[in-house]
Amino acid sequence: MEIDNPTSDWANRWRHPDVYLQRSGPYAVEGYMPGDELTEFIHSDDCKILVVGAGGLGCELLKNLALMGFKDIHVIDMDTIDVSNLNRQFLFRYKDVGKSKAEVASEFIMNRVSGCKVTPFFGKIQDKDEEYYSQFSIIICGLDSVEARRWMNATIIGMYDEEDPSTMKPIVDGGTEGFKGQSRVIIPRNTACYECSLDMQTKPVTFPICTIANTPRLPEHCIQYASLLLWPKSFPETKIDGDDPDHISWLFSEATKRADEFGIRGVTRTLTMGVVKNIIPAIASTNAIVAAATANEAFKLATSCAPIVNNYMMYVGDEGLYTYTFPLEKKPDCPVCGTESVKITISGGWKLQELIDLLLERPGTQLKRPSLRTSTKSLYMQSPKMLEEATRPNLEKLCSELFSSGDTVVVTDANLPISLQLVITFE
Amino acid sequence: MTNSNGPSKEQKYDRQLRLWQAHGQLALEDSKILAINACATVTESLKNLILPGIGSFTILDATITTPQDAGNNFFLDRNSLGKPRGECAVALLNELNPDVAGVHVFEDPSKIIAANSEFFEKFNLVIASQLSQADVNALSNICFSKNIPLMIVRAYGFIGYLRVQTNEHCIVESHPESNLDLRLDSPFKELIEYSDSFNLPALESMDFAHVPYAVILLKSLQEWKSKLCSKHNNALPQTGSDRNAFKDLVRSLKRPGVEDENFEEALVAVFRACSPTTIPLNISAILKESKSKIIAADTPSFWIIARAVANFVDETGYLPLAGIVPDMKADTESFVKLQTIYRDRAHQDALKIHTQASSLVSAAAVATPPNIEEVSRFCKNARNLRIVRTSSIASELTESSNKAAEIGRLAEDLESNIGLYLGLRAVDAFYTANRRFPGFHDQEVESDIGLLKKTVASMLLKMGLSAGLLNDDLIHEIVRAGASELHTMASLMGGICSQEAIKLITAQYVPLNNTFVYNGMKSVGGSFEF
Ligand SMILES: [Zn+2]
Repeated sequence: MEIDNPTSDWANRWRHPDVYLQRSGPYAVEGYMPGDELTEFIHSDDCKILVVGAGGLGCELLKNLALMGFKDIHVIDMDTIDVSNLNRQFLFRYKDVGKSKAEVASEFIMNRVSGCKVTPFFGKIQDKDEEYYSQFSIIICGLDSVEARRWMNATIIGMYDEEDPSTMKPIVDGGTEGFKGQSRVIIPRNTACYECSLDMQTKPVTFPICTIANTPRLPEHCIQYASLLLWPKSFPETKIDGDDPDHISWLFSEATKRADEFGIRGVTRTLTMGVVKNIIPAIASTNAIVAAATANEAFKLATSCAPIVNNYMMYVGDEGLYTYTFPLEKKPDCPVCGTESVKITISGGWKLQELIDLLLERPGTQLKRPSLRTSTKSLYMQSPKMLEEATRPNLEKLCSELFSSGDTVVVTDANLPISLQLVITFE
Repeated sequence: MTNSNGPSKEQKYDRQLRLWQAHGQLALEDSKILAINACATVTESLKNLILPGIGSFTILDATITTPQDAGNNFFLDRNSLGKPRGECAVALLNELNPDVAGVHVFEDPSKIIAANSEFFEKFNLVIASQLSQADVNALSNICFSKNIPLMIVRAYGFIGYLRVQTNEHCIVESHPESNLDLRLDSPFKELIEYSDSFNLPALESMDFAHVPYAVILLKSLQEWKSKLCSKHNNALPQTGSDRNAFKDLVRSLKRPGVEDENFEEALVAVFRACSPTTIPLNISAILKESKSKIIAADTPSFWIIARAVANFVDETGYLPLAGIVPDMKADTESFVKLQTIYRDRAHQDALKIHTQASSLVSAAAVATPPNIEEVSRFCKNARNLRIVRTSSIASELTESSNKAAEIGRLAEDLESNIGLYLGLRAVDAFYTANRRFPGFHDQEVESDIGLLKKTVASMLLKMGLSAGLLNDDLIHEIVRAGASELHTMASLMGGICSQEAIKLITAQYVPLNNTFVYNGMKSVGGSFEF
């Protein structure tokens, strides 16, 4: 289909957003230059927008951006369409199940909103490099994973070179859970970034393994008994695939047996799926609210026609209707956007492994695969394999044998483009 | 429920069923929604209702798609230009969900509102936008008298507005954060027997570490009451110092060297355990009201069950038991036994109330008497019932009412969104006077600023409010908007509107009472009760 048709706009098509591109107003912000040039800029490929995620938020975001007049939009998503997406991801139909979300969503938008070009990428965000991300004016995240958000945040902020303003890419981020959601703007090194607020994330509920193994009380305990203890024993070669109905059936049946044995009620197939996949309820309306607030910020950022949110908006809709907007504070020792090192005090008698465990657990760090080194040597490296083997014996050594109190330890993570400066003092 | 041309509803709706369960979904599938005017804000609202599977929808709209309509509405496109807007929107909305059917009525909403109020009786929810103030006023009266929930939604420039009107909305499942009803202060027989079956000193360490905290507190309270009853008059430890003494008593039961997670849980729960089981004030008001109602063939189940519960309370002094036990450190057997005790007792309470409700309806020939599932759900949530009664929009629009004074008081907080609300009312007054919106035409922006200022001044005067409530910058911004319906604002308000609609239709969670105004510049929302 030919989509670069210059005649695709009809007269007055953009009347609604044009008001804010053509008319000055007392609340417009510095740099606002209303007029035809601004309208042309929004419609041009000089104003390229990246949407990360083509799920519940992504579908809404693409529609919102296209109808606000952005005509060069890119979208990344590694997922394929599932039946359970259809209650909210409105660019997909039953016939699309199994296809790439990014590709189907792009196609749909281009068919419905003539003249809008949407370029899909069916893959991981980590597959793309800085050169790719640097082509965009604004990055909008509609993601459901903390990991992906951290990676995106660290990458975009890492790209910012204060000498070169063109490397400054604002991030607009949205998230939802049931009747709740939030939308925020991140201006690199100016406002709090995603990593600054990592400790606001609620961690998923985990049950102690001894409860699961010995004293189950809840249906969830029975399900986790099946998934965490029985499954690896029965199928040591296969990882559980929550989308495979046979896997769910097996877990459901084993969990039911376990529950019957202990007289526990409430194991259902739905709950089994919920626990195994850690399902978060999701509905069209909440997605619409958060995505619209998020796209609204992108429009204001791109045009300066009005001020942007300062800098975090929370929406709670289960009891009445509340929004709360507040400025989230930057953390001076944020490993992504901060300038100060993180100071921690531990016992010199700790083994290196204990220090690493702390980094995994600590709410503000939550690393997955940390590597540690001092200015002079590697303490523990996750990769390459040879280095991992060479440094592994250090895990059992005492910290006081490996470095001195007050030394700086640099922590990197194989999954994240960050480097955390840790100043460690021994008690 | 798999059929040949689509997935099962359980699969398709999995992510929402986790929020409102199968009975909430049934209510949604039974709903018939009327949407007045297929502007972007309304079609976005409908989209979010069609996707989760409402029963059906009707669009009432007599306009022809304009170039700007086709520009900001995802359910219109170039092909819609010059055709009826409602018809085109219905066609594209119907593609969203094969389970939902929509139709279009090509008639002027003003005429229907003026001449055919029966038209609205077919629907159980009305959503409207782009109506004149006079039409909103009349529609408000129709819906209020017929007890049909009404939602007025709007996106105007960077201002979002939603008004909910419902004269009585009864909620059984308000989904509170916690629903704890353990009755530790007034244990029933089975609970006392259960607690007595634990002989703490005789337990092995392993068993001791697994005594449920409910038992620890029951035993502590027993001791508190018996040993100290002369001093404490058999009362619960409710003052700060009593509670501290009671905590010490709980601690004194600990066994050194044994893991004490269960005791930690008990100490955390002390405050709640020491609060007497009472009937919350709003609940006694509901029960009292139920007694004043004459049960007739059309009395809603809510009021019939409430009446049966009121009789139960008169007899026993307590609300029916919720029957839920939160997870606590315990071995499987003790926990399951404890759960069973609460569940059985709750079931007995529900059975009594169901019998009571059945005898209430038998006299009144109620078509569908409350069934036991409904009664059980009511009993489980008896401490968290809610009734939302909003004022009518018509009463709010009366210029010299008490509401005006309240609005004026709220408007003194310059950070609140009341200024935007007043701005929208002024815009409507401007439209009524001039048959166009301020700033609609580029060449009139400057002159309309002056005109709108005059409109604002005269409106505030009529409302008895001080003239300075709306600052000049805000008036200028409102003229700048020129009735623009930005898609982002339309989508945001459509999302908010559909969220509240779902709560109204499913009678779960608590809807807005009654006005929400959103400032899309600062991204700040505000809820008001007018
Ligand atoms: Zn940061």
